[in-house]
Amino acid sequence: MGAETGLKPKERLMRARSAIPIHRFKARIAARPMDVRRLLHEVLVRFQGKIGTSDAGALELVLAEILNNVVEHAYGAERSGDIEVEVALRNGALDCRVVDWGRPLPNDAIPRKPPPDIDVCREQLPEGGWGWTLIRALARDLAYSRSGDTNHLSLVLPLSFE
Amino acid sequence: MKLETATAGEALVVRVEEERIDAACAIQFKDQMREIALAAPPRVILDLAPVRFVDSSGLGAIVAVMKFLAPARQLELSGLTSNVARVFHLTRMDKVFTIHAANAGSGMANGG
Repeated sequence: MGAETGLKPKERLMRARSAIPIHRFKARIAARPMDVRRLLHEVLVRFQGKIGTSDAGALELVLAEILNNVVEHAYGAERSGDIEVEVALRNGALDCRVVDWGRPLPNDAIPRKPPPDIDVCREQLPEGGWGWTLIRALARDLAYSRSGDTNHLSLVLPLSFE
Repeated sequence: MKLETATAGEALVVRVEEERIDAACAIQFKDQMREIALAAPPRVILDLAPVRFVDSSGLGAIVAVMKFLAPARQLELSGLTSNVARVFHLTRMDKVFTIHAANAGSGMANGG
């Protein structure tokens, strides 16, 4: 299958052994802030009552940071395109997958830079740059791959059922 | 977006009457706060009680507001819902802001 060729062996294995998910969300949207907002709402509605409110908050935040990155950096002001989002509830966790057709991540890798320094004077406090910090704090098994003109990002969000 | 202002003692309380401060409205939030800042007293309390979602863009906007209020005016926060508090905690920005546990604005009003 063409869509499977971008997956790393580990991801392919994880998929093969995963049970069929009970609850799944899948959507394709235009990479624009208001469309991101609408999609986040739809995801929460889909999983309402199936995951806890704290877990729902974590899901919304992680997806928002990933999708905002795609809108602002993969596409940016001079490009337009779509984002595909898939979330599946299985084995007490949420498997998330985001695909876009924008620019690749720098160095074809998830940024490893530390969170912005806040031990500075007030005038120099950061006004951004926390996206990957928040994603890393909440998600595990982050994986990124570039195949052709497509970015694939996947992660697992553990659930606390709180 | 809807921002309600009220005075509580010597402070100006700005209540964000929105569910979210996110990438879609961060610039608008900053612009409206800039206007409010023009006539603000030295102490400004941002009441976030109605807000249930803040992303890194929204957090950045709140930091920007604190920076442009300074040095003459100080920004304090109140009414953080658990999801919003988590963002401040994970980014350690809870160490940078004065955060009131309860709604400081209404507390003062009710206290007479």
